[in-house]
Amino acid sequence: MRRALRIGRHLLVTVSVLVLVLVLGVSGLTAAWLAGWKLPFASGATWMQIEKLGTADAAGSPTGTFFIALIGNDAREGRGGARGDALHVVGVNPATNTATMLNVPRDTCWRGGKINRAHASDGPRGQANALGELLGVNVSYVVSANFPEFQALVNGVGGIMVDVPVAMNDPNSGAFFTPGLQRTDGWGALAISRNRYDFPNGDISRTTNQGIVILGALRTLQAEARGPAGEFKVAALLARHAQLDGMGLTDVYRLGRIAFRLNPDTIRNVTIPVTGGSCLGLGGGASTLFADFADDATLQAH
Amino acid sequence: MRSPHLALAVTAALVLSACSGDDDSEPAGERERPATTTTVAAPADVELERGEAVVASAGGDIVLDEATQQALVDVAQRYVDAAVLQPLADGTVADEYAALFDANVQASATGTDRAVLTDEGIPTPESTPTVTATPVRIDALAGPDGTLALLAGTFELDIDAESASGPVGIRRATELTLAPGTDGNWLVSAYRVTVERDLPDAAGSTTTTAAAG
Repeated sequence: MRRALRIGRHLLVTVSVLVLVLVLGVSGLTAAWLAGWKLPFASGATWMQIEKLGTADAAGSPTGTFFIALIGNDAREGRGGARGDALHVVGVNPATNTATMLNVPRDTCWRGGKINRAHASDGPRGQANALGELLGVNVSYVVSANFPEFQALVNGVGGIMVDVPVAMNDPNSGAFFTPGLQRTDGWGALAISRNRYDFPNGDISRTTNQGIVILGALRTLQAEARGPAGEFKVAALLARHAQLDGMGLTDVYRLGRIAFRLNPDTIRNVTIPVTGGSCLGLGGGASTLFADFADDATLQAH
Repeated sequence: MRSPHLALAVTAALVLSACSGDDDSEPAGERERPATTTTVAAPADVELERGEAVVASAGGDIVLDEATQQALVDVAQRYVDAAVLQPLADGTVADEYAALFDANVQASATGTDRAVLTDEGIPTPESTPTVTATPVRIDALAGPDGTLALLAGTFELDIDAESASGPVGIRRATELTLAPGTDGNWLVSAYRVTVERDLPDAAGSTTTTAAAG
């Protein structure tokens, strides 16, 4: 009996030590990673694809208005043909340091089918071109990430602050949040972005909330990556983990500088008007909204 | 958040208009001296020193060699000499000022942002100004193959002087981002500059910021 107790006590101590070592180890490695140390298990993993399209300026900082497509795709292991699950086009006017984001519900009709199929057939570039055609703009850059990449990206910058607009209790997406500004990790940011069952209009509200997550990410980076040291660190981090096509590290930095000059509080986050059905048609006022967006990349009359 | 851009733009425009009309390139010795100037000040001088150097690398660990660090500090020194110290001596920027910038920002540095980046047109001191500078903090961005893509120098500059119309105080916070030029030299390819000026008479106190690139 005494022997069994002694063995049990030894076992308890051993397990406790192992748990402690594990917790300290993981905490230490996480802290080191956030502090900028290069850890072999994560370094170089792909977080996103960034592509400069033919319409972009050849070199230097963009000086005229330009448009960037931000795409979340649903690529998962063992499943090909990733569709564009989150579709956003940001218009930027560097001359005035202003921007507008138009959010496009994934089920919006385009050329007789849902617009998100363009990603499955023609990749990020095809999806960007479809969005540009729908909105009447030339998209110059496209950024695309799948679910795990998006989570890794958010975790890689140490989490982001998101102003959650309403209470969320959705077991499908895993979104359980009280309203208000809060720091969230990659898993939480993805859950907010995927939650559609909490809302009567489903994907429409979800699409707007994805815009809130994007603005939260910009606000967080502006606050926490100040000055050349912070900007270079973020640029290097992105370059380590992004597949760059048609652009280099300096382009990433220059786009980042422009993004850091934007005031997120003044960036309009507007979901385009759509009408019902499984393939959503454009709602009233869409054409004037698009024209307002296209003329100088920002909304004035809307 | 950053400072309100509109307010800064308006302030910069006001300062620019206040300082305009003094950009001819006539040699200093041939300029008509203002009637209120009674003494000739010795030229102001300050020697920038290297500060902490940090590399953000998209690849392996990179050590920034001393020659590259000094190259950055040399560009910063040339900027200070051309845009800040020479105007304190004769009211005009040095001829080489524009050549410090690459095509990405040259137009703004010599145009809309000139009044922030330079001290052209402020009251000429009667005595040698006191100039102090912080060491230049050096940041570098290296690509996956270890090639340096960008360098950045961050420093502050304080200037105190006496002009015929009263004391002059200038506080500068400067960030210069350098990219390699076509012939291997480093050129200013982006900047953020904030200048606080306490000037005599109607000019008063102003704080203006300029950013480009």
